[in-house]
Amino acid sequence: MKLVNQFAAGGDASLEREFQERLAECATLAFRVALAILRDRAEAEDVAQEALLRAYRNFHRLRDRTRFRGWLVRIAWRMAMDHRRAGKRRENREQDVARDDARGLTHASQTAEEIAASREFQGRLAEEMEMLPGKLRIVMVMAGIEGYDTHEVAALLGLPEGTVKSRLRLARKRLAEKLR
Amino acid sequence: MSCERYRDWMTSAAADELPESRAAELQSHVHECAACRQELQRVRTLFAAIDLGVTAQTAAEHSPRLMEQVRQRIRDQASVTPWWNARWVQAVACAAVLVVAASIWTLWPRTGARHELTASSARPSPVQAVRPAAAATEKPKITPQRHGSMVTSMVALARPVRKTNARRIERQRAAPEITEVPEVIVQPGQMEAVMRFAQALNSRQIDGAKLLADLKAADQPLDIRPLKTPELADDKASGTSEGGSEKNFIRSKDSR
Repeated sequence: MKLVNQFAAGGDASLEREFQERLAECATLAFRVALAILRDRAEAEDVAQEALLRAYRNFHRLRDRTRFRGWLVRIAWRMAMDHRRAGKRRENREQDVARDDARGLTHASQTAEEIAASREFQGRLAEEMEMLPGKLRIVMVMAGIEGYDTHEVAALLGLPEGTVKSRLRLARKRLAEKLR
Repeated sequence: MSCERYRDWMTSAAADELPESRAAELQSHVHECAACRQELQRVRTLFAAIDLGVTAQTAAEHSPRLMEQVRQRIRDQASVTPWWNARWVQAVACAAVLVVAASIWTLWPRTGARHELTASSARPSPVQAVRPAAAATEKPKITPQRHGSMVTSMVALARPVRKTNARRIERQRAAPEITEVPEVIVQPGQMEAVMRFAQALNSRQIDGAKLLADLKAADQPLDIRPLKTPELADDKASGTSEGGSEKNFIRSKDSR
């Protein structure tokens, strides 16, 4: 609210300009993080909107502005998880339906693109992603978003690159074992 | 060796986690076994499909109205002044703080009356004779607050004393000339006499100033002067004045 008041009074125009620039740059990132959790575009947009507003309110507290993207990712992640928990019951019903449909996901004749495009595989993959521990899941999602490599994911999450690599490998292995 | 063992290795092999020795063994087996070759290919395809699937799940673009809505909400928040920033709220808060501070200042318990340095207080105060029983009733009683704990009651007892002493010392430093009612320790059995003396002083039957002057005079140190030895009568009679008094004195002793 302090930043809001500063903006309203025109006292810190540079701060507002800086935030607006980052807003245009990072809105897609916040939306995609929320979408990876919620798998619903409308809900993901709502959560992304709230995450961006929260980031706006607390932007003056962020000392290192170069870490804005990672900071926003964590805000969006946390808010999406909270939103997810709130609608857990409805989601469980959907998962039950998806589990019934997910039989014989992969065939030797199918290509990776064909498998990935199938609705059954997507549903099952999303279900198994939810079962992953949070620290594996966020690495997997960030690696999937915009095709970040391990170096970028490590910089974004503030983790050593070796940790990101090992977590990514472990997450993929677990998913493959479940989906095999 | 059974194919089942190699199939357990395939996930690790696709994830590039299989040790080199095992990876070489798996490769040689896959060259010979068509079923395992197909299975390894399927697992590798699955890994690729997982990466593609995760990317596909997050590859969507948000609608353009997302940015519009965020900017609109930022503008709405900026235009609304929070209630605690209103001027009347700040004025009321300041007034409340002042009232509370004044109340604390006036109602804070003190052991003795505060003395202001005025012209009247500069005069010597009359002696007040107060009976111990009456004085005891006028003193503020410190009652421990019992909260069921011995520690809290002890703290409740100790705190006022510490503050009282600190305040008294501070007051004495600030105004050492403050005239308070003198406290006199009276020996047992002399209380009535002291009471009568005080009444006589207040009714001016006794001149206090004169009494004080007499006491001061009585307290003057004695004037000690060198001792003058008187000349002995027999020395005068003998007429020997040249030898000095000491000599004469010795002589007179010898003459005895």
